[in-house]
Order: sequence, then C-alpha cells, then structure tokens
Amino acid sequence: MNTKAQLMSDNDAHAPVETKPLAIVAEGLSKTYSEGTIFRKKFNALKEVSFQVREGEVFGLLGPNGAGKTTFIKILLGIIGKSAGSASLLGKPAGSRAGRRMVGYLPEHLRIPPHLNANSALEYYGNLSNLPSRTVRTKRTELLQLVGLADRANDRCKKYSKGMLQRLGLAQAMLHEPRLLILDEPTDGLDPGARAEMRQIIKRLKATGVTIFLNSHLLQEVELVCDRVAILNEGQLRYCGNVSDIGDFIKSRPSETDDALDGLLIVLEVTGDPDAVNAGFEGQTFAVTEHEANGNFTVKLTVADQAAIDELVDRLRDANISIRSLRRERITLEDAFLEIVK
Amino acid sequence: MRPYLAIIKDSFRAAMASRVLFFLLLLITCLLVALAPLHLQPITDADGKTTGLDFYYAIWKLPAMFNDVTHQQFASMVTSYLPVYFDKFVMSIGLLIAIIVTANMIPETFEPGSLNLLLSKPVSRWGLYTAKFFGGCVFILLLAGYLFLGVWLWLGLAMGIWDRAMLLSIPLYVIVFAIYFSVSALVGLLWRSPILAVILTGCFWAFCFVIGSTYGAFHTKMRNSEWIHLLPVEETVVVSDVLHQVSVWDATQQKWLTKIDADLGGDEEKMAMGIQAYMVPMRDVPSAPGLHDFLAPTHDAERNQVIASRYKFAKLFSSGKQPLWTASESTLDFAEAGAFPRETIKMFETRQGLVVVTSSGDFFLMTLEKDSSPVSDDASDDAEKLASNPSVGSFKFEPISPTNRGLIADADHIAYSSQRDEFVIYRNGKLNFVSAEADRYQASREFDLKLDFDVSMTARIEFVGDRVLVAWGNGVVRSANVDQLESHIEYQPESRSGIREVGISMGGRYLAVLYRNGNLWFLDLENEQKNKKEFQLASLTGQGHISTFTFSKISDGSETIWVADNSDRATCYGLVGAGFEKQTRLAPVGGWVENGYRYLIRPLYTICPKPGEFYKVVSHLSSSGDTRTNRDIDLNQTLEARDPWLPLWSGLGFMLVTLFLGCLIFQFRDY
Repeated sequence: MNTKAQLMSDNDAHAPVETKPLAIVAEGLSKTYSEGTIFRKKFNALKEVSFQVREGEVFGLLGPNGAGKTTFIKILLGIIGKSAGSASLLGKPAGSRAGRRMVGYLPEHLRIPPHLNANSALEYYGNLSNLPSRTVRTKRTELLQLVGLADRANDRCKKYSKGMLQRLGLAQAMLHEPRLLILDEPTDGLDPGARAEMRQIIKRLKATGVTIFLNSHLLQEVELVCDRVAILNEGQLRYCGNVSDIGDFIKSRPSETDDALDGLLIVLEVTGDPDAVNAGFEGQTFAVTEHEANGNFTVKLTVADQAAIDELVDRLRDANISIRSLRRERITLEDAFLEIVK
Repeated sequence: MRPYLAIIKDSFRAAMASRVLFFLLLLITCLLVALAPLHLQPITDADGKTTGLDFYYAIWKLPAMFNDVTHQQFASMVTSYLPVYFDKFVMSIGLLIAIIVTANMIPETFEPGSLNLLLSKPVSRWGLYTAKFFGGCVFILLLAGYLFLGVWLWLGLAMGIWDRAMLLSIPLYVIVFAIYFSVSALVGLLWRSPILAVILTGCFWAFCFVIGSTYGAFHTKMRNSEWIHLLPVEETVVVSDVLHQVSVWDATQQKWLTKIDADLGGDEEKMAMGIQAYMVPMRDVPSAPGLHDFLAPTHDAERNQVIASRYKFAKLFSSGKQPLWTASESTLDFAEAGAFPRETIKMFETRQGLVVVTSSGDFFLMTLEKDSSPVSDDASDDAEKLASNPSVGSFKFEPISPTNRGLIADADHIAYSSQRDEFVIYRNGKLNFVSAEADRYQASREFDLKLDFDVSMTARIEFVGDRVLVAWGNGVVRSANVDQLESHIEYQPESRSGIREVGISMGGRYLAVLYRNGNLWFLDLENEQKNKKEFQLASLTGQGHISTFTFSKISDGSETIWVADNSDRATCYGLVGAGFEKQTRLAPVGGWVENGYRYLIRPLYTICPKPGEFYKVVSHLSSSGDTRTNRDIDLNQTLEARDPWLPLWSGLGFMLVTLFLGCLIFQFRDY
C-alpha cells in the first residue's frame, strides 16, 4: 500500500522509536461524567492519566470493562470533551479537525448503514475524510483485497458477518492513509484465522511507520503485536511501558496480599510414589496443578534462587523421584494484568 | 464541502434503497395515469371565439360543467383550488408517510457504532447535523418532484395550463416537510427514539392545527365585526359593521355604542348567526344571505337626519322588506320609520333631496308624508318626531325614474356627482349617464369603455365633480374626466387582490382604491409627475388591515379622510398637500375577544409555523392567479388569502430556529 508513511525516508521509518516525534500526548487527563436529571451524580471515568505514544509505535491500551479506555479514545477524537488536563494528537489539540484528519479510527461495535456495500461504504467514509471519489475508487480494490473482502465488495453490508464488518471498518480506517490508527477492539468477532490476518496487517502497517493505538481485551493479541502497553484500572493509569518489562514491574511493586511472585517461579513434571513426592516437596510452598493416575505430577512453586533449585532437585532425586522436566515460568502479560487490576 | 455532500448523497442512497419510496412512487404513477386521459377542448362560436369548454376522458365526453367560462377563467379556478386539494389530500398522506419513514434517520445516526465513526472524521458537528437534516428531505423531494412534475405536465399537455405554481410546489412542500422533520430530528437527537419522534411530531402537528383553527375562528369573528362603512356626522362618526349593526363613537366612554342592532329574528337565528360569525367570513362570501340589501347610513341634509336600513335575517320566501331607520344628527338615536321600496340598493344625497335607487333601475325621491299627522313646519322636527314615534307619519317615495331604465347589477355600479347632478351607472363595460331633467332623471348618454377583459366582472365606481373612477375585480383601475372619457388613464396597483372600494376626495384631487387585502392606495392628481402617475401605498395606521374609508369635508372647508382598520378602529387624517396629517384616532378598549385576538392569538399565530397553509403560497405564486398575465380573472370571486407569504416566512423561521437548536445541542453534548 502506498501510504504516507512509506513516503517517509527509510531513516525515519527505521529510526529508534525513542527519537521519533510524539503521536499521542496525554497530560493529567481527567473526565468526570454527571448522571441523573435532578440529583446529579458524578462519576470519574479518567483520573489524571498521563502517558505518551511516539510515532511508529504499536501501543496497546488495556484495562477491564469500565476502566476508561474508550473514554480516553473518545477524548482524543473529540467525541467527548475532557474535564481537566490536556491531550494532543500528532502535535494538534485532541479533538481538533486538523488532528482528526490524520487519524484512522475503527470503533468498537462498528455499524455501517445497511444500504451500503463495501464499495459505496468506502466511497462514503472516504468522502467524509475529504477524499475525492475518484481517489477512493482507485484505492478501494487493493484495500478490500488486503482485508479479504474483494469478492464481497458489491454485497450489501446488512448481509455481512460481524467479522466482515470489522474488516471493512479497518479498510475505511486505512483508506485516507492516516499517520495514526486507533483501533478499538479490532479482533472482536474475528475467527482465529482472521485474527492472524489482522496481526499481519498491523505488523505490515507498523513497518510502514504508521502509529497504531490498540485497545483490546485480548491480551495475547496485544502481547503479540504491541511494543508498549498502558494499563488502566478504574480510570487510573497503573502501568505504562514495554511489554517485555512488565514482569520486572510486577516483581518490583510491593504486594501486601501475595508474595508468591517474590522469587523464581518454576514448574516441575515429576513421576513417583505420591507419599514420596509429598516428602520431597516438604517445606516448600507449592501447588500440584496436575496429578495423573500413573504417578505423574505437575508441580508449580516459587523458590528463592538457583541454589534452592539445585537443593530441591537433589532432594527429589534422593527420594527416588524422577524429574521429567523443569522449567522457569515467565510472568505473562495476562498474569501481570490480572495482578495489576485485582 | 465534500464531507457534507457525501452525507446528503448517502441519504439519497438510503432513500433509493427504501421500498416505501417505490411504493409511493407507484401510487403517484397510478394517480397520474388515471388523470392523463382527462383533457379539454374549447367550444367556439361561428367567429372562432371561445365560448366555453368541453371535457373528455379519453374519447368519452363528460357532462357539461364549464360551458360558459373562458379558458383563462378555468385556469384561474384550477390553480386556485387544485393546490388546496393537493395540500389536504395527496401531500398530507405523503408527508405523514415521509415523517414515519424518516423518523429513524437521526436516532440511527446516533447509535454509538455509527456516530463515533462519523465524529472521528474531520467534519464539524453543526455541518454533520445540518447535512443529515437536509439529507432527510431527499425522500420528500423525490416524491414531491415526481408528483408535481407529473401534474404540471398533465395540466400543460391536456389542459393547456402551464402553471409555474406546480413546479414551485416542489421546493415549497420540501419546506413543509422540513418543518415537521426539524421537530422529528430534534426529538431524535434528544431521546434517540424513532417512536417518540413520530409521536412528538404528531403533537406538533396538533399544536399547529389548534393554533391555526383558533386563529381562524377569532379572525373570522373579527372580520365579521369590522366596519364596512363610515359616515362622519358633526363631531363624531357613524359606522356600520358586516352584520349591518350601526354604531356611534362615544367620546366619554371611549367606545362604540350600538344604535341599530341587526334584526336576527328569534333565538335560533341569533345562535345560528353567532356560530356563523366564527366560521364564515361573510364579507368575503358574495352570496351570503341578506347582506346584499344593506343601505349604509346616509345624510339627509334636508331634514338634518341620518337614514339607514338594517339587516334582517333572511327567511325562506320572505318578502325582503327593508326597514327604514332615521335619527337626528344631534342625538343619533335611530328609530324605525317605515320601509324602503323593494330592492332598494343605494341612497344618494342629491340636489333634489334623498334619492333611492333600486336594482331594477328605478329612482325615487324620498319625501315626508305630512298629511297623516300634525307636523310642524320644520322638516327636521318632523323627522325627529317620526324617529321617536314612527306611527305619527311615514316617508313617501316619489318615482323619478328615467324613461329608459335598465337593471343595476350591484350597489357599487352606480355613483352620483353632486357638482353635475348626474348619475353614472356601470353596465357590462359601458357607462350610462343619468342626468337631472325637470322633475326626474333621464338617461343622457352611453360610453363604451372598450374593455379588453371580461365585461361581466365585478366593478366599483365613483363619480365626484368631473372625474369618474372605475375599478374592476382584476385590480385594474381607470380614471378619466367625464368630458374626455376617451383619454382615460389606467392603473393597476395590485394584481393579486380584488377591489373593495374606490373613492375620490371632495375636491377631486385624491383618488383612493382599497383592495380586499386591506391595502389602501392613493393617487394625488396634482402631484402626478412626482408620483410618476402611479398609486402609492400611503403610510397610514393599520395599512394592510383597512376595511373601509370615506372622504369628507369639515366645517372650515378642509378635506379629511376617515379610515377604518383592524375591525373597530377608525382614524381621521387631514389631507394636507401631498401628505396625511393624523387628527383623530378612535380606538376602543376591546373586550376579551378583541384583546385575546390582538395580544395573544394573532401574535402566536404569526410566529407559529403554519405547515397546513402552504397552499396559500402556491396559489399566490400561480401565474394563472396574477391578473397582470390573465386579465379575465375576477379576484373578487376567489378566496382571498391575506398575508400569503406568512406560512413560508414563519415556517422557514421555525425550521431554522429548531435546526439551530439541534446544532447547538449536538455541538456541546458528549456521546
């Protein structure tokens, strides 16, 4: 696809992300909703959220339902107003028409007028982005092929499945070659194959230098494609950083309720007499996650350091227990997310 | 601009995808196919002149309906009544369906999955809402366009009536729909419910209907109580209303005192007339019962009294007796004193005395019957006695008719010049002069006006000094010196309203023409060059709501004009040079009906939208209703639409305000 990002020089496209200009800046962003007609009740959807996204990044915004993710996106696009703080899109004030001109957006629960087909929908949304119909017509075939809708281009949208609508939504978001793509639950309703395709598209777009701001519940998806993530919970920013650093963050943060993550998490697959296995793990805080009938056990536990692992292995061997496998468990994004938002 | 055009284009696509639209287009097609075979053929006489019209449905001739009207008159009738039928029957159904179909349009746009995407685009919110609004009008544009274009072609090809009003109906009915749709869109914006949008649009229609009906009833009542005749008497003025009740201004009480009540007969008749007063604007209905035999109060200088008749409720097979009432000028207390000759249509104060004229062309000199009771030598004393006790004597009507008399079709077709002691009677495009000769009047000469339009058209005539002023129902006015009738000057101040009254000032300097729309036009003959020989719309209080006027002379010889406006207001102006100097304004403190009408109902009606009255705009725009292009139209015989533009301006104003309100809410609301 001949995107604007491709027109950037190779140096720009492959320059370290840290040196690139800022695509999204949020400074102390807050939003308070008032509900009720007579007795107004206030609800803080966002509480002084601050983070930055640089151009060329694939950034994931995570959080449970009601965390404030969609509110954050709506403020960026000017769909709702902010209560306090500031935000900008590609150097333009958030919500401004100049800022929106450079953004492609795929909303959650996308609804496309049922009388349109893929071709006319792209023409309609392209015109709304101020693209002439002629330009839309030259680009739409390629785009529809990219999202896998080329053979259904003339079918009415009311006949489309949810996944097809999502793909059409992605096509319209990319149509005017935006510098920033904001995708709200882009894989919602897609089958596994289509999700893989969506990941490929995102990676391809990233390669062209387009900034992608992703809002998703599917943490594995985010983990697979995002460089950095921010986690929101109850309107507050709980984490913002690289996906690979989230384990260290979890370990580094004080925890009053659970110290299980303080040390090395290992998983052992062992075979032996059940009494012997119990004896071998005596003194350890462990969890038997699986016990098969033929004396096979899968045990998950935390140990202080490598010396403790060696000592445990020796003890198990002395107790005539066979060790089938031993591996160190990494903290996944899902683990971290659940830990952060609990 | 491209994004907003895209929204309108999308609305067009949505309309074209609608099955309801195609169903309605099919219905319109059926209507047009049914109308298509109906056509007319002119009936011509031996000279090739059109005398009437024959109608055919395909090859079958229809029963004779319009075999005595010209094509232009038929065109005028069609373009006057067709918009009303279309408005009430065809378009009302179309509008209702269009409102139901489009009610979902705004709520659908405001579904989060749709709206969030639209709002993320680089478009302004007010532009988005406005474009969606106008896009919603595409549905009715397609329907109205197809219907009126079809009807326009049918009228042109089959009837020979190429009327622009049919084409102009297309944008006008889009505006009517836009008025309703602005309400529907606002409700959809606020509550996002199509059902609520339809319900509240229905409530809005009901509100407009109630306001319009209430105004109509009160307006008719006020029209039926407006002054139709003024007679200045000494320091006061005697007025007559539509029901021929005669009143006099009481300066101390600052109100009109009724001196002669309309004789409405029994209670049932009173109730019937009371209801009718709110329903039928009687002055606008030429055939209203009994109203034609009114004799307005007239001076009887010989006896220093005022003579009048009064309205009698018409009874089936009644003799049509016109009671004669008299009052002395000093007290103005009227009392019945006999009856006028049958079919008396007008009284004149002549050099000989009071002359009454009948519709059959008879002239009678009114004298006092003195031998029936002892009366004094003073004639005025006799009249007073008669007034206080009619049994003491009665009036006698001495025939002074011309030998060759002819019918007088209307009271407004005869006028008298006291300076020349001569009558002029208008008969089918000719002027017949009747001059005094010894002890009676005799027809002296006839002059053919050589009219280039229908000579049977209603006319008004005035004759003062040597000047004759004639005006016709098509709004054309002719003025000429009676001795040089060939060199007349023709004017046409208005071409869409019929003539109500004409007048010439006592000195002959000013000509005045009052049209049915309440506009009073003046021409200052001594200032002709300055005024470019055209009538001017004088700057008078209540201009546009004037119901009658009369020129008079006060004791010092200076000339005045009394003008009645807004039903029961009367103003006296001094005629000073080329201007008017307001001298007296008689404005009574009204009752609840008058005050409610003036200060609540009329202002409310003026600002409220009137989507049900757009047929008035269509009729007004009709090329066949303009007498400048069609001089055969008698506007006195058509329905008078006052303020024909008001539905358009008030409707556009309401729509813009509602649209602005919607934009404002949309602009500052979170979604």
